[in-house]
Amino acid sequence: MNPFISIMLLSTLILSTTIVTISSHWLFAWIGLEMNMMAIIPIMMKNPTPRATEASTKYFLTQATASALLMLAIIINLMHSGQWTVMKLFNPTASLLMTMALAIKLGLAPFHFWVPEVTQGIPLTTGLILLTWQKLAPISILYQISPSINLHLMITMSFLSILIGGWGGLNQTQLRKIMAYSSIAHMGWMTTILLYNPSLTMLNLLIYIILTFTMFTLLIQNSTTTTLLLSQTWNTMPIMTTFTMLTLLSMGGLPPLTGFMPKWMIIQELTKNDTLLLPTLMAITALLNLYFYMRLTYSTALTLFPSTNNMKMKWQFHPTKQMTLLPTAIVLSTMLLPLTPMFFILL
Amino acid sequence: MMMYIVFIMSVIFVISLVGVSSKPSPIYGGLGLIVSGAMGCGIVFSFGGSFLGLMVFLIYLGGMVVVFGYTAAMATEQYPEAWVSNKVVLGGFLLGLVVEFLVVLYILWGEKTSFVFEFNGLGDWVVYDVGESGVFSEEITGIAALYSYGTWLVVVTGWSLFIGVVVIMEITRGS
Repeated sequence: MNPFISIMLLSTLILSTTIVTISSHWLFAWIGLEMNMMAIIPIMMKNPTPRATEASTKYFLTQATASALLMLAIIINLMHSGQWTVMKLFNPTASLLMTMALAIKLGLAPFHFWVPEVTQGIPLTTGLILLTWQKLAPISILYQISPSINLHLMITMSFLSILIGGWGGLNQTQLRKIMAYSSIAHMGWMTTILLYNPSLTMLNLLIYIILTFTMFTLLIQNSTTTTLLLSQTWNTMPIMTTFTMLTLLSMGGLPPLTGFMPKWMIIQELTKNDTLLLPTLMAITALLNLYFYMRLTYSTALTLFPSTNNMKMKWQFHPTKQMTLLPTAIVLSTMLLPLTPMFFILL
Repeated sequence: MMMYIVFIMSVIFVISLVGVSSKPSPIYGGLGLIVSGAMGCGIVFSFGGSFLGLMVFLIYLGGMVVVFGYTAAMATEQYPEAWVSNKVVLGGFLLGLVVEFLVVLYILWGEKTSFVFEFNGLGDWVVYDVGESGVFSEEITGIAALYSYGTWLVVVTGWSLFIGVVVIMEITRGS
């Protein structure tokens, strides 16, 4: 891509998310979401293959539908109340439509089908942007309208997301699809707690972005897209197998690692709100997620795959890519748990 | 009378948008887009937004005609496939007739005639009125507000339209 166009699109991507997060007027929030969608599409089609075109078409269609639904909800709320303020969404119809539109944008469970399809068709770096930065704008609107969201709808979609995010990734060998399903499950955790304690949503989003960034950086480092390629990490960069294992287990939410923090806080908050069945089911279905993370861990760090490579070392000794932020990201995604009180005060 | 015109225009609006989304040939897609745009402007006219309707008609449809010409030039098919050549659409037409018959039965037997034919009880859907100042037309007030303290709105919308064009150029130019 032409560097000037690239700079223009990336700055629009950043600017539009900023517009969505800081605007208090519905029209601006909507314009921000539209600009966001328009700006990501050429970045998705950086390598103009038919698969990338298909992925960006799917992304465009779902996001455009969601934007139209969002506009419909805004107009219904306008006719009902006569004002455009983001925080004041008091019409129940508008609130339901808005929640569903943002669920489509986020890829929550009944509307999750586009996430794996789109993520599988685009390059790893764009996938990283899609699964982290693109979640900020819809989550910020959800955060702002959280007092008027219907609890039953939100909880149903969240729990379905956790279930399907765990279930869908079970038989996958493609790492981008696994990351997409992992994203769906994490979005479920975020939106479950949204009505009880929105600060925990922000905490979970922050931790999720750190973890996804680390995992994608690890994958980009060796251009890994399948489990088979991941299983050959050992003869390129042996230390990366350990880090991949730690990051994956952190995503699964095992206790001494960072990923345990949001799950712990969310289950605690739900228990304090006297909902016992929901956190139990969520914890159980999160085991599905943990299962496929464990399988990736196993094939990366704990076994030798019966592959064609019989040499201990590759001919290429020096890595071709330098991931500057990788050590920091690995430290952040594994060792942040002792800093939980700081996050709790911060958010 | 006014309500009937709006009603007919709404029907044409919906049908032409169906034509856009289920086009057998790009030329008819462009045609449906133009018709739907014109009908949308007509609906806005009927609700009192004369300046807004005229502006959208001139600028939006001015652009649309260019797009239509481009589409027609790009898809130079000698015999473009139309709606009637598709058996599925014919089936949809027959299904539509059946549904229309059922709707008429529902209206006549369900005592809905005052709602459907005389437009009683539509409430807010008839016209959305925000109240007038009494001196100026409200859309003139709105446009003045847009260009005085809504400057950044114009900047942001202009930038987003510009980005739209850049994106279209970028994804259609190939590698």
